[in-house]
Amino acid sequence: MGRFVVRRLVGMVVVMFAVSVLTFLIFNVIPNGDPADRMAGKNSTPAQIAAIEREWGFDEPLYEQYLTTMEKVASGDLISYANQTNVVEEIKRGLPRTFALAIGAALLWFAMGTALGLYTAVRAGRWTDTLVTVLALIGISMPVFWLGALASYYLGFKAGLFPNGGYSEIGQAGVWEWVKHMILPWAVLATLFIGVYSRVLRANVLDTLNEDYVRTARAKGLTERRVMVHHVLRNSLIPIVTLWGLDFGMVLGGGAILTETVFDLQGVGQYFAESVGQLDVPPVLAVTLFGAFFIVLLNTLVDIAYAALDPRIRLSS
Amino acid sequence: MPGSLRGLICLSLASVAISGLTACGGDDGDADADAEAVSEATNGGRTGGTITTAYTSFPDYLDPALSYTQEGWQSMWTVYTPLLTYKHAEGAEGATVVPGLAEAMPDISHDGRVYKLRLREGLTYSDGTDVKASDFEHTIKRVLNLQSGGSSFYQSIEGAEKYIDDGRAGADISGIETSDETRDITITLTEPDERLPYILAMNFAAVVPGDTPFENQTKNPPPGVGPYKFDNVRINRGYDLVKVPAFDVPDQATGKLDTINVEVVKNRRRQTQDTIQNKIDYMHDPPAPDQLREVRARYTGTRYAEFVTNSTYYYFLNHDVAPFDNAEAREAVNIAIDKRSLARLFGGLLEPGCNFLPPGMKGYEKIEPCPWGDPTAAPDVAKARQLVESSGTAGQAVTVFGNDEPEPKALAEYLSDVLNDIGYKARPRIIEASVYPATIGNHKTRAQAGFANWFQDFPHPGNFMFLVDGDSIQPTNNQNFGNVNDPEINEILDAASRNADIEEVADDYARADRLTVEGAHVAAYGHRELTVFYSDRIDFENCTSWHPVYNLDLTQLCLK
Repeated sequence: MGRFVVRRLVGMVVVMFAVSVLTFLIFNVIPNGDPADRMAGKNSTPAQIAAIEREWGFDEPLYEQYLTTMEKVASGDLISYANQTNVVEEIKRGLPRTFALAIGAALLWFAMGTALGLYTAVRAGRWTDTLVTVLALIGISMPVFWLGALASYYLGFKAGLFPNGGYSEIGQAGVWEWVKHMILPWAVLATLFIGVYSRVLRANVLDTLNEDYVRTARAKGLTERRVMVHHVLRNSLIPIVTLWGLDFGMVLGGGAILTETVFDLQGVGQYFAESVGQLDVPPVLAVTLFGAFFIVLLNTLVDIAYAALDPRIRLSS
Repeated sequence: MPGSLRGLICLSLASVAISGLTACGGDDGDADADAEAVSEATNGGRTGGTITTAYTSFPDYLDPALSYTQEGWQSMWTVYTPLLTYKHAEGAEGATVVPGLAEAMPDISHDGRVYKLRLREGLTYSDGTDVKASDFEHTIKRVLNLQSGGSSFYQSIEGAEKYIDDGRAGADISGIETSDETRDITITLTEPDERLPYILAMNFAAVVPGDTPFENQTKNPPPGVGPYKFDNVRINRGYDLVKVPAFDVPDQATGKLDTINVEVVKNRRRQTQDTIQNKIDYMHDPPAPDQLREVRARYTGTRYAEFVTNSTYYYFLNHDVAPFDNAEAREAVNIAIDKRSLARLFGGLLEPGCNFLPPGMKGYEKIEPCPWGDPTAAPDVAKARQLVESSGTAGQAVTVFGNDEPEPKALAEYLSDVLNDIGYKARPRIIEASVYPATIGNHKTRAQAGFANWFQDFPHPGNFMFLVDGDSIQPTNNQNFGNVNDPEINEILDAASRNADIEEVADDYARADRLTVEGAHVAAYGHRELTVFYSDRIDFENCTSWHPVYNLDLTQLCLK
């Protein structure tokens, strides 16, 4: 296990390095204009632009600019070109919101996806299976921005059942207000995943039900509940856990851009989207690294979880 | 300043939140819960109370030396008062430069190079410290040292360029002499600049304490002399404007509300909904296009109003490149564009017009009838086609430039369609907004035609007319994109620029404006409108004051 963790950590560093180089290069070679020119504004003089280039290091070779930027990422001194705010602080400010959205939605879609997947598998072929399957497909097909806008308009603005977007700090307005603000974003973000997870789990459970060891378990006289939970579900969950880990990492790393934007949560994803719109390299680089970190980290944790779910899997191999 | 650049500066707003002055343009708070008592004031509105306002984006900076967006300047004007400033009034009166922290308007030397001012006595910053004359020099040093977007305005001060070249924050600017004892401030220019009073009235020159660091102070804005002070700054989230009871500068507004909570709510649809439900008291940006019709219908005159900004939107037509080196070709474009359609591209928030100068500007005289047809009627496309034929330019290829912000892109595509319709082979070329002005302003690009706009830096017609002044043409960073070089216009503008009395030269600017239109030097089509939308709590009738420079005057806002 120790060797496995070390190997994954080394792999993580390599992936992060590759992501950082690629992101930096992409945003430096596309025609986004001279950052010094942009920072100096429309009334700038050549002397002013030259001074900014000197001060910000834009006149240095690209590799030196990369190293300087990465040094600033590590030290937390990375500054946005657009408004000269500290990028790391901005990410820290957005993190609680993104975490709140990602964790809540991920738990919801995992629980609901698993429950519905298991339910439809057990009742395969019946009308309830068909109904849930149709609902799952509808959920998968609905774009987040559309569903979010509808939910926000009808349940938030019109009916007043929930706040119409925004984020409420727990420390300011209490836990209940925070939950009220998060219910719609959680539900909307989770809807897509619930559909996917329930379909995947249903297929897995149906496959597993035909396995020899399930027949053996039944032949041994185990209760149906024990067979389903300990033998069928446990094995069927392996790909689900993989999927969940990756999806959760993606959402945590800024993948819930649309949900954050529709509900105006102002988390890391929304910050990323705005920075891309402005071609503001420092925040784009930092959020990309942040996202990559979580995806790689969650991937590693998923691999470790594999071993717990299926002892046949040997991490060292 | 150009709206495209402003769109960049204002980031998330693109061109929607464009404002009347500068280069450009949360969380739930239940305003109904505000139970603070309000008391009857003597000037029509009430005083006291707290409101919540919503902005789509956080100002670029909360530092007067750096802020160059309308969002920033609107708040900045309530916190900082320059030596000279503007009256808190609507229309032309509001565009009048008046003494701010200075006792009187400057005493100008005969050669127009030396300006003498005296600081008012007994001024204190919001933190209680005394204002000193030497703080002014420090203020200008910060603008220059921080490479502010406004620094070029102050480079006509003697020694300013040397100060920048030296790169030493503490160095002296030879053209600024101050005496803390007598409170005298003397500014010497390298050459006369009739714009200086306006430049001194810009927020960049708003005096800050002499120990304010030479770095961006947005996190902790320096104290100023104004009716409000910044408090509880939450970067990219919001801030509060808290009334300064001790503020007492003659002829300056003291502010009616106790506190103005500024919240960043990035979703304009949500802003509108929250304003309808009285959760937000003032929405700074226009409602989302799909909500505009309903808001107009239900709230105009009671909670909603539209105002024309000092801005102009036009297509530049390059006089140096075919086909628009031909006057008939330019006339054809002016005749063919449908200004009603263009207004629709702005969700209706564009006042179609014929003039190049905006209606609120000194020197504006409505050109009527418009030589190219009624701006509010359908264009005579057949006539435009005939002109193209007779000009001998039919069939020529035209590249129409626009940038990648939503409106400029649509405007470039529209012109391209119009040109194809009247006999050219046109195609749009959309380039990234941040490099757009530099690209079309470079002679090597030889941009034939394209989108252009301008928002005033200060309320002076010269701040618009230089865009068509042949003397302003330069090979790079050229802002006379169409290379308009009409000797008659040049002569008028040259003479007008030597006269500091704007009233005396207003007719000259009006004539230059008319010549610009009649010569079809550009295809001007309108002036941007902005909106105010209030909750039911705001006293719309008594407390809405649309300032020609700072848009909605926050000091005049009040509760019912």
